[in-house]
Amino acid sequence: MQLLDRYLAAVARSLPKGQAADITAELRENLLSEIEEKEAGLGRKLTDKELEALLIAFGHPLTVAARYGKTRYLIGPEVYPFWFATLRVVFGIVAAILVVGLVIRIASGDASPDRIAMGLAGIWPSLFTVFGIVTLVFAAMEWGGKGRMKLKWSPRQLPPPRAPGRKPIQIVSEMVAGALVILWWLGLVQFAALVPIPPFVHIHLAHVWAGLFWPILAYWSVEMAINGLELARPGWTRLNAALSAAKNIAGCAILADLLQAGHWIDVNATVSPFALDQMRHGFDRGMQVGITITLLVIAFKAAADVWRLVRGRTGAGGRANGGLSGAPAAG
Amino acid sequence: MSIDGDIYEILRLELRRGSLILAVLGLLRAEHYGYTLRKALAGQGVDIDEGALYPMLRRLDSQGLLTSAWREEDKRNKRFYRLSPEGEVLLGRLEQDWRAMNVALDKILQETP
Repeated sequence: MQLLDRYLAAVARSLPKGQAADITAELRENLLSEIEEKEAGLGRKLTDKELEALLIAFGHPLTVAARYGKTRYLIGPEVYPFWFATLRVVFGIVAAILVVGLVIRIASGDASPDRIAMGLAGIWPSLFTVFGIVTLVFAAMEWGGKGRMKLKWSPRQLPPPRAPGRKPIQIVSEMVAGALVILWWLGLVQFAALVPIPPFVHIHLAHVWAGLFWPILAYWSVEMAINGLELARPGWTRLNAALSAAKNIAGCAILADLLQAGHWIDVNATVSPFALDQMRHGFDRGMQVGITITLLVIAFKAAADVWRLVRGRTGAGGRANGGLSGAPAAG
Repeated sequence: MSIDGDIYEILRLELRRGSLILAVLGLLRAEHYGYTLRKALAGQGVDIDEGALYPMLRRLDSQGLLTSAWREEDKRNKRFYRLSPEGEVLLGRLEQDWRAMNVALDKILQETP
């Protein structure tokens, strides 16, 4: 019975100390009863190989011992979906921050291929660290009993059945772009390396932009806030449409004001006066076209937002009033 | 996963899980120790893995549904289990639920579409 003793000792090692002796004594009796019955059927003692097979069939010592303990898991089935959802959001934020940092470094010309490679390699330790922290927090909730807490929620907080057109990745991408624009507008980063201009040409924004510094900063900040709101509360479509409409109407006003200036870029270059004049005209012409197109696009967006608001008020379309209008018509 | 193999096995286990406790409590109206209980269950057509049965006995005992005592039999000490008075009351209630469920299921399964 040396094998049986070794087996039970292995089981005992993984049992709670206070119960180990009692449980293994009971297991021994049950196993001995089974062994005796088999031996009675065979009319002889079990060989070591037969005993080994019987113990293997009974289960690995760790598995057998685990069945006597409480269910052990780091994150249980009730907490798991919240852990996973949080992880996805936090991963998205961390990845966005790292990408913004990398883009700034590349754009400012402060990045050799080696440094970019190091930056990319650094993403993994960051993600693993975040994974560990989020998992520890939720494991603490699980073990602290918060996993069984009933979360307060209401169907009103849920997004409409037809989700808004934009996916989270699109919203996050816009937020990343918005953050870069704000940092550039505040003069915190430079994108000189990205502008394909010969070194003897120097361009600067004309004076008109300085007069619109705060409106433009406010516009992009509100844009960021609206995107953040859409990400956090996708179901608040009416508030989102209202804020978006207000922002786009303000954007139209800023652009209309800007368009009246007639001169947007100061250009200096060590070229002939004629060439310099042509260059200045070219830059301003390009800006005029760009500002006009942007104005039209934003005006169209503002109209679309107002339409969303009006449609929501009248209950048309099913999305704003939560109707399941996606169901196929009968007949 | 095949419907004949894995899926069937998973669903069969789910179907049996709840009813095994009922079978164990029912048989423990008479006193048994672990191994003889398993044999008695098998004799009634209810095969149960010993790795599941023995911890289940401990759990039911700690919940107060069983009483247990070490006693010598055939020159060896064995832990015998029996339904406690609380366990008998609970078994009666579970039995009622089981019968009601059986009647409902029979009706559903026998109904022609």
